[in-house]
Amino acid sequence: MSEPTEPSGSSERDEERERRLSREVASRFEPRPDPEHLGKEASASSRLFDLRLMIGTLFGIYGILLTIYSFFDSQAEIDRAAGIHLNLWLGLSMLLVCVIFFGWARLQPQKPPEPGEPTVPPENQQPTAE
Amino acid sequence: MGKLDVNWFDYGLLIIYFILVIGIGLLARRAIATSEDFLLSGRSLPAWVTGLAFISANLGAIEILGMAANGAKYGISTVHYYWIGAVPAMVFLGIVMMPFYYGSRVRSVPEYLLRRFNKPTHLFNGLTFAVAALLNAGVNLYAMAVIIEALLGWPVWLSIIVAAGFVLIYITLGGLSGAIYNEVLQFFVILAGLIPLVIVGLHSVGGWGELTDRVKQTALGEPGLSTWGGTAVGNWTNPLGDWIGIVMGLGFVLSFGYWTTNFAEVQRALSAKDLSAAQRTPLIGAFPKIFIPALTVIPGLLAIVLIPKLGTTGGDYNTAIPQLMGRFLPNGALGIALAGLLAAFMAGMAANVSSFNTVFTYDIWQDYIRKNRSDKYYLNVGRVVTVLGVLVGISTAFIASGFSNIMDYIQLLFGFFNAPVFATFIIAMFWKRATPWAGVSGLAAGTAGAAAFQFLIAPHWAYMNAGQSPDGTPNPQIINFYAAMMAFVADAVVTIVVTLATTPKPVHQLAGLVWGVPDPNAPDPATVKKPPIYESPKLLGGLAILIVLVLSLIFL
Repeated sequence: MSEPTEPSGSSERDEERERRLSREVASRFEPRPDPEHLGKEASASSRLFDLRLMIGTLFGIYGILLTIYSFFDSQAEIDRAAGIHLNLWLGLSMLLVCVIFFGWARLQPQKPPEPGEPTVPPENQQPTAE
Repeated sequence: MGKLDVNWFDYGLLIIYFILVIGIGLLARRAIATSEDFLLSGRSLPAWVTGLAFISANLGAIEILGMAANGAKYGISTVHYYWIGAVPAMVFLGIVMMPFYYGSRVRSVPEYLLRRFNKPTHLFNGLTFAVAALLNAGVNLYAMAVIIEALLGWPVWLSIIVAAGFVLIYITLGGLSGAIYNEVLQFFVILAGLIPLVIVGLHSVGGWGELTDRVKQTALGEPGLSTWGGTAVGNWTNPLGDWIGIVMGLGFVLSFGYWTTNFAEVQRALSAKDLSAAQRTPLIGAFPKIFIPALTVIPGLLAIVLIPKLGTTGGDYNTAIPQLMGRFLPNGALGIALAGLLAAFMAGMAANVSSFNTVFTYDIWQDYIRKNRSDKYYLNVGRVVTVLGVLVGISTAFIASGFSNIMDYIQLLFGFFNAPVFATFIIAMFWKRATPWAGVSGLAAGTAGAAAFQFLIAPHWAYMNAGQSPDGTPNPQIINFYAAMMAFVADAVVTIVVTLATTPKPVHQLAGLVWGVPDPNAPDPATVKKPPIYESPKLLGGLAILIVLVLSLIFL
């Protein structure tokens, strides 16, 4: 991948225009697709689940369990944490974190898969392979 | 130290966590169709995820326990590792270097060196990184097993196999997404474990003011409460040495080298969904990083006050946090903290394995061993390499359990390879004349420079010893920092000399890789949508630096 070659060919001007058009569609600075993958399998990354729901779930389960468990805390347990009823406070805080993550995920849902990115002809890629 | 008083409820919380860890791996598997999905998360992740993963990849349990140990040993000077050590480098990576990494579309840090310099530079960096990553994975695993044995009584071999097994499952299934998602989850769980510990600990000694009063009466004493005290050049007494070593060696050379060129870190930013998110990755990570010392250094100070004879008969410094957990946390909160600690151990290993498999697949296998195969082929190579990487990590852990001194020595040796890397990168990105052969010669010279300082100069230089006297004990911190400065200078000098003697690459081959050589294929800046003001890298970076400055003045 170390020896780039000059962009080749007579149709360079057409490609140039095509590229500019496609750039205008892409409103953001999107990196070019990797040359190795052109015309091959498409990425499935848009099927990745929303992590916020996972964090919310874990903290929700932990929060509920800790809060319930805290009602059975003995005085010795409370004394151990310097007099703070730690499991209760921690359980309630974790429930709060759970609510924050679910709320965030609801207010700003993960974007649905983007409709087809503008594709650029392979000749226009910065050549990489030898 | 005594074992933790863990009951069925704590174990229940642990089991729930481990089920979720596997669940993430299974769910992330659906999102993998290409090698880039597997090794770089398909470059699709939002900035807050990559940003938290960026610091979580480094927030392994060794880091947490080690920084608490430093807090107990050195006092609040330990914040230098965060405020001067990490944050400025993370800001520099986000604002200055990320456009070259992400914009040039390289898939790894060694690949940048391949395009900027030549194959020898590429191989030198790729191979040393791959070997060091496996070594770190193994050492992490072993350190974990030792602590689990002390805390829970599990035999060393059992925790090595169990932890490595979970890491193997969630990375082989979910790839980098599995690793990153678990890192972010771990970040929140470790906070849920450590924040209560700090609150209860401070409450029990009577607050921060009372804590500092009591620290003054310990062996650490008054100097343990000042960050810059005793750093005068010539007669330093600070446990980290003089300010030149701290600012230049730790702050500039070592930290910039680690945070801006270590692929285990940079990979998290490369998995972001666009350039803006990639730039914000280290910047978003910088904000939690500023405040993590509150969760590591404060427990260290609490431990030195509350645990008699810590560091000698009261247990190793590294047990500061586990000992406080046993003392303060009731069952329940204890289970959460334990889950966080175990998760952090696995994250420390997973970060190494998930960056190793990418460098091995793309930079070694695809570039030198089997070129031009289908993407499916490299996806499978990535999976197989992941399994092999975990197996090598396990073997390394078992070797470490038999010969831990040898392991320390090998880690020291690999430190020499890291020390000069930043010099090469900074010259590569800002001097387009720098020639292909200057790359590898600079790296080799810098590595040799660090080794020469460590073995030939430091033992004969009394300034490196406590009290600057020939009879004092050598201070490993200042030696490390000065060796790094030596590596930087050696690398820079040799890079410049070799550049002047050899032919540079044609400028068009450097497009997008060097400052002032724009990539003709990149979009016209005028057509790129301006991000909203709160996403501006300069604003975020400036804010992080400002907070660090204010905190540094408060804790002067």
